[in-house]
Amino acid sequence: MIKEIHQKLVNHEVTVSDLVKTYSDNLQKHNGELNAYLSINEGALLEEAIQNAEQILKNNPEELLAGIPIAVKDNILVKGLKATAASKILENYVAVEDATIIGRLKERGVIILGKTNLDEFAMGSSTEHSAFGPTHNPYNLDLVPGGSSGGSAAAVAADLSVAALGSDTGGSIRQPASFCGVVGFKPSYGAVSRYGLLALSSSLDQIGPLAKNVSDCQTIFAAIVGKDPKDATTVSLPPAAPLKDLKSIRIGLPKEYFVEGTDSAIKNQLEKLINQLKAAGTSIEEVSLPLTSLALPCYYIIMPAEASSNLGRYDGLRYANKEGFKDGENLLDYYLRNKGTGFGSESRRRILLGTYVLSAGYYDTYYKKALQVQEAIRRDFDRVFKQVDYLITPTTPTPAFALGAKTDDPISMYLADIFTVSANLAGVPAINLNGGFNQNGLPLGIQLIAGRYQDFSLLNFSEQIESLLQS
Amino acid sequence: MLDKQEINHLADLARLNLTETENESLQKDLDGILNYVNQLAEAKIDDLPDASIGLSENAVREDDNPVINSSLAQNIVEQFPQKEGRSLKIPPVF
Repeated sequence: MIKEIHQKLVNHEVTVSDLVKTYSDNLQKHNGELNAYLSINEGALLEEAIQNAEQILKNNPEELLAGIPIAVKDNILVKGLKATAASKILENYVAVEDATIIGRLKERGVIILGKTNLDEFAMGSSTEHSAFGPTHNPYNLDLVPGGSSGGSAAAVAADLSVAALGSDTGGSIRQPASFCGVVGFKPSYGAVSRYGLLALSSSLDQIGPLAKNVSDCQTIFAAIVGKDPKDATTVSLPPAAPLKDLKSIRIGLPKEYFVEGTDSAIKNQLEKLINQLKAAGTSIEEVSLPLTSLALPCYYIIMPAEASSNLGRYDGLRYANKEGFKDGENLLDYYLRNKGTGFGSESRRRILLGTYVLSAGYYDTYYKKALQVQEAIRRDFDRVFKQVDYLITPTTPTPAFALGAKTDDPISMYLADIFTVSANLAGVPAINLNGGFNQNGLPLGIQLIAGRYQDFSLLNFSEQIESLLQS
Repeated sequence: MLDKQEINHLADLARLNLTETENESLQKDLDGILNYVNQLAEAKIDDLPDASIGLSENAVREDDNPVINSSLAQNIVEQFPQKEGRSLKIPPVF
């Protein structure tokens, strides 16, 4: 899609302004029912971006990203735009600088159309935990778009942007991508700078692209990847391995991911793909990741522990305008009043859970054990990727569920991430591709996982699988 | 099962104000979640690795001048809801 749009721009069939107007018109028309965007870029900032893009195109007609309109999850800083993380506590906060990756995209002439909805501070799997109302699934407005990057996934699916940025701590790019039928890529831990991302769980968070196809994800990923002095966890990735024919690729099917409880339409789609691969001569073998059933419990110790520490900075004193905040008799009183009403219910649950697992007497039972299991999970993945090149699994156990279906039962909501969390714990790259639709027309996701830092190879392989899925 | 007092203690530590109803629903929610994560606490796994090794190494930089962009500090100060000069104004500590 980006390549086709770029051709039209270079051939002067459309101007950057026309392009932005097309998407803005779509946005005006459909955002009311979808609630994908929380705020829109307009006025002088948008004008400046359009002129910048035109200039870049003139100087360098090869620049694929110049003039391409994208959406950005509202937990990533874009200078001059609000960054609320869908929380009341940051309702009026305007970012004072760009995240590193936003700076990189602006240099290439990308146009940021606006900021997209999410579960508050990216904590959730349905975008229903947004303080500003849920996002609706473009395939069926009564269903959730998934989460936490639900606004980004819905915006791409409904053509309210060409592509989008999301963040993925336990599945928050891949799960909504699967529910909305788009491609969503979570890079290796350390591949993309998080400077300017409002941190949820710093040892797991990773930023990545959502788009209509793998090629667009690749284009955006190539622009944001790389070391950043402002994020000490960033690394330089090796280039893609030489492209292999499907005949010489080894695929693993982790048996723990093919269990009872997964929707039969998802199973059937996977089976169809596996048969196509077999017919193409790909070697397919069963592999084992024995700690899979402990991954989600492990995640629900590490993530709240880190979240409760990270969210401590939102004290209501520094990051927002005065309006809306209550005065306090003293500092403690002020904290109690403002943090109590500023954070939504899921945030409060996780802050208390994190406080509990880190408190004296429980640290060894929970947090230390979780870190040990995380390390064991990483080793399992390392072992499996000595046997095979890539893993294929379902992205989620079910297609999109109804709004309200899981909001009263935190555990059933958490289970929506059961197939996605392991990649975060192991720090490996993983991607969701659309594997087709069920009888009700809902998208079904397929997840591909590669070894740590094999991001470029995984994207190349994903293109091969994408063309099989479309054949 | 966490009781009302324990929830209040955690809320105090986290500086959150809870209503009576919220305290009750949090008792129920946290209980369910802790039951779920207890699978991990109870799991017997052979040869668990030392948690201090692996990917999560600490990264440090030289302690030279960390100021990369001096106008940034000014922009941050300008966002303070209440200020005196370049200082953030807060309610009295006591």
